[in-house]
Amino acid sequence: MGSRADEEYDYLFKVVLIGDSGVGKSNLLSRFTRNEFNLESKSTIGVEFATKSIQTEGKTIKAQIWDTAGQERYRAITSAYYRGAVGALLVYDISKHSTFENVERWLKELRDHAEANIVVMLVGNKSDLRHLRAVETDEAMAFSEQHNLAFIETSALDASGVDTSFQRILTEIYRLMSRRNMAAEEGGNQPQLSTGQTISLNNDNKPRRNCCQG
Amino acid sequence: MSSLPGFLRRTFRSHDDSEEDSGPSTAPESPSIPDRRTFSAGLRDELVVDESESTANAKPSPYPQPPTSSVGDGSSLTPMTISKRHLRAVAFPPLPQTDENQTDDSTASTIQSYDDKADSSTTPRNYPPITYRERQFDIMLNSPIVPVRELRKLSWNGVPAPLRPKVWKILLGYLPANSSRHETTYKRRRREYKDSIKQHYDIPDDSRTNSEQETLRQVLVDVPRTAPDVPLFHNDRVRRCLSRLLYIWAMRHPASSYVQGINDLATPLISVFLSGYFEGEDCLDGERMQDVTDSILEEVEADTYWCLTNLLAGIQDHYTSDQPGMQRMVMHLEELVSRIDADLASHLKNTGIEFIQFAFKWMNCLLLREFKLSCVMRLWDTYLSEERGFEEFHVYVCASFLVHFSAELQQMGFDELFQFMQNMPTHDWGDRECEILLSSAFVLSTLFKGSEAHLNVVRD
Repeated sequence: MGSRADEEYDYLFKVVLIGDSGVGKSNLLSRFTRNEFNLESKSTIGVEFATKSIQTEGKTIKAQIWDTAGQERYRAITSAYYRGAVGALLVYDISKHSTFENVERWLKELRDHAEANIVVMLVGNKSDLRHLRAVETDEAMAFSEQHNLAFIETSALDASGVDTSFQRILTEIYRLMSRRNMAAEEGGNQPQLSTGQTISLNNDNKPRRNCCQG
Repeated sequence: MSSLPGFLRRTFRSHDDSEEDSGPSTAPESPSIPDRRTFSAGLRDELVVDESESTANAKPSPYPQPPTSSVGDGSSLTPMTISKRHLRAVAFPPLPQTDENQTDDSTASTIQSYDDKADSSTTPRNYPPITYRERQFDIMLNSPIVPVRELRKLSWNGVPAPLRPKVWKILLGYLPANSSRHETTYKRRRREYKDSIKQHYDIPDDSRTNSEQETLRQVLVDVPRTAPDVPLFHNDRVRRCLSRLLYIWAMRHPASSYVQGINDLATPLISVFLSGYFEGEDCLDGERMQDVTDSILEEVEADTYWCLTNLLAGIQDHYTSDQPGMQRMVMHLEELVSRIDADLASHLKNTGIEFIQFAFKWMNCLLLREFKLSCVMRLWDTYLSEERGFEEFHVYVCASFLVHFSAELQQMGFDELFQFMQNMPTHDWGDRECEILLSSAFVLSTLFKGSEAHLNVVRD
């Protein structure tokens, strides 16, 4: 499954982008995967999706990134996409304090819908808007330490921090997974993040419905 | 089951010309819908009528003719005499210059005196020769009582751009069938809307509740990224209209409030209604905005608000909590596709892509993210003509749309599929492609409508 000859990779990680509407999630994704930025990109409806492979510690990791709609009304739809995700970039806008205040609410979403050991990175986007900064770096850093999150500031507009953020979260997921697998091999019976080489993304194995049956 | 592409080429829809005329509808608020079975599958004769068709062989109108003293007298059967100015009046009646206390009677006399002038004018019409279809639209729209049922039927095959603003307003139930009441309706509704701006929008921020502030914030985040590929929506005045009407709509509809995607749905309405002031000329490049006065824009904003309200009233549960209407449509689409293109359905299943992942947006934004605005206008002519067009017929259109790309999709794996669906290749689509799509959707709907048992599947 999944792997095709033209796409060699060692691991496939599913990562979700979450956070309030308008904080720049879609542009972070397009900057990372296509090196594109669009000041007036359309709002995301439901989910969008892109992939990119990176190298870390001698391994090729393919990131499958799901960009979700930020509006509250879509939570019922978007929360389904947390299933199977091993990482989450929780994005706020450094020029809008309310988007930072809502981070706690997003963490609760993750606790409710995502896997317990998902790796979460707090991302303060739009760092180019220095003159409009409303969330101080220290404040966000303290918050992330308190909640045991990784933290970075980025600008999808000028590209600063974008590659680093994805690189760091993917590396962290990889290390975490390696440690768990090692522990499992040593006889531990701990719950594993995944078994085998790829992390399953599509557990779509429910029986299909057939028309006019029965 | 034949594969869909097989009937793509021969699915022009028409209504049966021999159909009995049942007279004008007098209940515009709940216009009756043409019975699907009265439509035949042959090429509609007016589609092949040459534009040079002599007015001398004009068929007698199937619609009741108004008295000669009123709008659209017998002479309107010879359309070449209709002046450009008259047609503009059809597309968008001029506002009476009188004050707001004007009565129905005075409105009617305003229209009449205007039309007398138009009829006596000898200015030739300034755009392509009128077709049989256009003449039918003209006759209907000029009737004292617009035959809504027939207008609806005629609109299925597309509404000429200059007439679209008025036809949409009637089919959306904004303007009543009784032409003499149009002016008073405009005045009343526009005044009501203006009042709601004062009540909801032009108030200090600290008098808004938290959730109202959040709604306003969301609207203001979304307006600048609404139809960013259409220059008209870069205009600050247009953006202000859009912000206000979306916010006011949200305040008046707390069960759903504003949901992302509703902003997209307002764009065809604004564009079409604005074009009504320029004889149907496409205003999408935004250059016409310098000719648009504030009072015109106020009218467009109010008309858009009311038409959006009526449009959304029919699909309310698409935007309420958990969006049940949307989920139902996606499920219906999936069932439909598995019936008409089992190979595609099983390929999608095997790759692991779920319908909700790509079709949710198709339902939420009614394909506005997939098609150019001009194509959407054409699609909506038909949606407005169909009974439950935005809810039911739309699903058949989505099914035809998906199956149209069946061969390509079946060559793709998960990643490619997903990327493809996010950016469907419709950039070069025009009315013709849309009409083929609508035709195949119509065929599907006749096959499956009323036989839901075929779609009923055994639930797990």
